[in-house]
Amino acid sequence: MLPSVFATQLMAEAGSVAGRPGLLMAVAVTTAAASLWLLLPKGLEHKLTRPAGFILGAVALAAFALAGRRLGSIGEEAVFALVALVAVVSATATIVTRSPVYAAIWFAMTLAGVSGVLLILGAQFLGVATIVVYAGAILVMFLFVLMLAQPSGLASYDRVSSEPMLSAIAGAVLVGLLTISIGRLSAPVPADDVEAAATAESDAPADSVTAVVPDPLFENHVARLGGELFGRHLIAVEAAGVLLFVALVGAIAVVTRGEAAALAEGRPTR
Amino acid sequence: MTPVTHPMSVTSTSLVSASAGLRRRIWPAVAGCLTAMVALLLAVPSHAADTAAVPTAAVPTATAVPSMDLAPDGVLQNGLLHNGLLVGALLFALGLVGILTRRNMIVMFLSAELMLQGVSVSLVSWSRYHGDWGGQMLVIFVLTVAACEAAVALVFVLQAFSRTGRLDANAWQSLRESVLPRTIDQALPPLDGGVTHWPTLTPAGVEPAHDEEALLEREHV
Amino acid sequence: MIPSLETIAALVKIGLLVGGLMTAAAYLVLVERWMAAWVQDRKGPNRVGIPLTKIRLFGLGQPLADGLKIILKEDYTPSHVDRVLYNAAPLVILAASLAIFAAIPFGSVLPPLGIDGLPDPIPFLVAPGFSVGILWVFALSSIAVYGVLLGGWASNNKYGFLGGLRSSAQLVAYEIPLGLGLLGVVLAAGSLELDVVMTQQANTGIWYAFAQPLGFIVFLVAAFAEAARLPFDLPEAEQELVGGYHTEYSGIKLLLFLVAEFLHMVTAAFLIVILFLGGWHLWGVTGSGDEIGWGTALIRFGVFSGKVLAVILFFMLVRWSWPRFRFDQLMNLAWKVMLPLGIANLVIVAIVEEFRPQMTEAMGASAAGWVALLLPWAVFLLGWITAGVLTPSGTDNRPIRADILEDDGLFAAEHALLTGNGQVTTENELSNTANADSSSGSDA
Repeated sequence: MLPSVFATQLMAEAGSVAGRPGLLMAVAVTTAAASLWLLLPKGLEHKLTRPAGFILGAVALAAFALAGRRLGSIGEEAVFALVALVAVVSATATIVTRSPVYAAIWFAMTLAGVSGVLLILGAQFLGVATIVVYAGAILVMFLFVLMLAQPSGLASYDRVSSEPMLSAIAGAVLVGLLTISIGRLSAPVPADDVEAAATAESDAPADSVTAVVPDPLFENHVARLGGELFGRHLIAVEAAGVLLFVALVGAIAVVTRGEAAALAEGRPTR
Repeated sequence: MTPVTHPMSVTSTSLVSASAGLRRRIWPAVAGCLTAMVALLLAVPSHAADTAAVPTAAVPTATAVPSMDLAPDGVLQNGLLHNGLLVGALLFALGLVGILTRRNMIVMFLSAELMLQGVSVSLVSWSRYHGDWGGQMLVIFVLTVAACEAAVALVFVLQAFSRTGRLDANAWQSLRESVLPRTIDQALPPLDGGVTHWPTLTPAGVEPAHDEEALLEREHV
Repeated sequence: MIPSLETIAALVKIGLLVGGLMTAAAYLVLVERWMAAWVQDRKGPNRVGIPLTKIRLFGLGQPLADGLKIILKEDYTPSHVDRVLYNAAPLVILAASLAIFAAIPFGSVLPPLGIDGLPDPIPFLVAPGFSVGILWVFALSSIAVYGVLLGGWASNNKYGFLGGLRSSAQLVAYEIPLGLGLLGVVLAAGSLELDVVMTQQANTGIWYAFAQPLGFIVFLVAAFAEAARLPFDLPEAEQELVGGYHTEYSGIKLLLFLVAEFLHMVTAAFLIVILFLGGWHLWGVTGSGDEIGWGTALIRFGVFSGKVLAVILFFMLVRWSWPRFRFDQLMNLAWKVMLPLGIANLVIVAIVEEFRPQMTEAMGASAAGWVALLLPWAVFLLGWITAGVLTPSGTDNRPIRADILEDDGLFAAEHALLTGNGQVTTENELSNTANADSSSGSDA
């Protein structure tokens, strides 16, 4: 009896919250901050800390999902929600997990999610290139270092973090401010405006109203991307090439110098 | 739990916690920030379109696509932009939190990459919205710079590791300005179940001489 | 909700592909054992036929028996492993090596079936029109590195870990020559879609193996290394590493690793055929257009499968003919030989493709075609000779003698690192050797 009344009231509350984007975002941001603070490694933890963090995190995610705008179709929404969820949840796991190797694996999952988001946004080349460059090269190198450098068990510095509460609040403030500006950017147009727009559009050719908005960058994607890159941005490409070369030379110079110095000082090298 | 009092004891193996003084001083500012932000969020009207930049009208696009903004039945077609920007903001903020809190240098770099990912998602969202290549071009250069950064950063992390034997960023806090308080680490409780008991045989015979050098090696690969 | 005919067609293709690949992997193991037996002049597996009868069927029942045996073995998980990653690693590597085939065509096209709702003609490709097909292949082959690395690390066994490290270093290193060899083809074909690459070769009648011999060699060697086949099978060198990254695996998980490894070889064979050996095209037999009947479609499929099988047999023959490289030799080959050769190939292909229109204008189509064909061959011979002259026939890996170095520790250490052909001796050892040298000198 009482629970059901309570549940109905809660549902109504949730509905009214969902109707007010500002309140919704406030809820999302504060729960997200609290959840992050609970989940970040702090050395000494109560056994309920992490479950509470998970629950608050789920609430925050749900609030963020409610704050998202509707897309064209249910299928599109589901796919976007899935990849966005993968990206955000694994990103959270990357920063809160204690084991750095697991952090790297979670980061790889984030990359998969991000690549999915990029594919949905029509950037096919970048979606796949992200996997090739980040997951295929950069992250493997990180994993090498982690696996070779990790002591047995968890290191003490992985079990604590500096200023978890302040940082969580800083992150929350950042997200809050960003979402305020994003919300102002694309706040829903009042209903009568929609009507007016629809009638105005009906004068235009019929297909422009009914057709799903096409992605202007979809047709012949890779060739046009390459043309743009090596046409308008040719100087930048050259500069990036020089940057890569300098980074290569610098990395090798530092590592050989360091090893040689270590040998000369009698320190062990790997 | 006894705090380690000697300021130079940072290199002891089990460490850490916050500098309480810093937190005490920053706390009012943080509380003020949070309150102000929540107030701002609550003050955002649900229909802010009149003051906000109306998307397509305000942003002339080179390849203008009709009804980028409004599709039939009032579905906002820039929902994709909004959601993409939201995901980007979340990734960026998570990366920020990670780089501020975590002390493992590799995890800090992963967090930095996370922030780059957030930026990439936002850029591609804008690129899609404007029907323009600019955002995607920038992301390609972000990828390039990330690769360079990873190469150089890994070298420095390796050098730091070979000097201290730790991936801990706080092992280098002597590089801080002298006025900043030192982070003094406290002893941590042992992990539960950290000790594994292997089956043993009854010792018999004479114990052989142990190789001193071999004993100094790490037991874990 | 009834799925559309296109969805059904895609599902049928996926089913055929996965089933076909799994069966092919099982039977290719048998073929490999036959090949081994043939090379070593003995009889291979020829006993297992239909159970409970005397019918042997040339040993065709062997894969089933092998599979049954390995599945029924105890799936033992050692207590010291990292359970989550230990269980995830074989799944990652198998999923990645199967998903690669989403972008790899396995034939030409089916003739139009005349069913409404189906595209005409139906391509032999799971994801037709995926504009970044080649990148997809690359991305997934780099995901496969994770399976190896995590399997080795999660096993918490030093042989497994060393195998994982070696393997992933090898895979990452050889991805670069692989990409360089492939970029030449992409430049010439002007597309990242594998079926377009095949169509281009069929249209011109010149397979890219002939147009870009250097690229073909670089790609072939890199493909051997990526598939971890014998001259480069360091990840699981039995004599040194017990079993490599899957030392601690048994039962079905080991089977997943082995199947994934075999699938890498099959993928490499597919890629070699598609990119360099003309795909389904054979002069005078298959034609080149998309308007085909059932007969041509079947011939094309047969030609394609035959070529893939031939390349796989070549892989197997190499396995039983060549000794294994040492790890430093492997890395030298990747960075000091294959990388420059790949770049040379890329440069000459870019030059030829850039100036082809001007050449055609200046000297006519056929002469320009000959120039475009002969220039890469000249570069190929030049590169081959240069590599042969510059590469030492053997590697001297004795420790550096102290008496040839100055008495400066930093310089000595740096010299040892820069020359790279010696074990780095510590200062103590250096002075010991120096003492020994001087004492022996005084004796003399």
